[in-house]
Amino acid sequence: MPRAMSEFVSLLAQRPELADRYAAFLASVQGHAAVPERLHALCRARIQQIHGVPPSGLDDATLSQLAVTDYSSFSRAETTALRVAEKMSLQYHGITDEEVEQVRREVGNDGCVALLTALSFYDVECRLQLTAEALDVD
Amino acid sequence: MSTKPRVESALPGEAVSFATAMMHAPDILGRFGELYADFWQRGIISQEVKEMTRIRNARITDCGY
Repeated sequence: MPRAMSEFVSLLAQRPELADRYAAFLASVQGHAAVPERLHALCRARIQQIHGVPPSGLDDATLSQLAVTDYSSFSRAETTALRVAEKMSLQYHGITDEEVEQVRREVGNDGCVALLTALSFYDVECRLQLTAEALDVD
Repeated sequence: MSTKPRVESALPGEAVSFATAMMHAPDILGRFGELYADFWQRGIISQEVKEMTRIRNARITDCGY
């Protein structure tokens, strides 16, 4: 998975300074030590799937598992994060205190902040991409 | 929807808020601040329009901010 670049960033190229700041922000989120890169990749791909945006950064087998929410082969931390990612896009008020507490137990306070921030911006990226496509912006 | 803070303040003695919770990851908070400042202070869309859309979005999503 590209650590800081995405189609979202390429869309922001119309505002280069904003694009640079977004890239730096996303790099700080994805580079946070408490959250493994694979955790980001799994959650980002699942949020892309929910929005109907082509997922990236993972092999086909893993993407197939994500698409049917078969998390049986994933670690506890991955499953915990994916449960929150599932709700971030369309059911954000349905994220429970217990689910966030489980995330906090897995990755700590700093990792919880980093992961929740990442999930929300993966959702933002999809929304802007879909909006731009609908408006035929490139 | 949560009715209590889910992440405690990173600053001892200070109440939990968006900023004090985010201080668990100060680098992220700093980069977010730079991004947010650029968004608000630059570009051809007026701050009034940005604020209207922010409030509208907050109401639609039932966000306290």
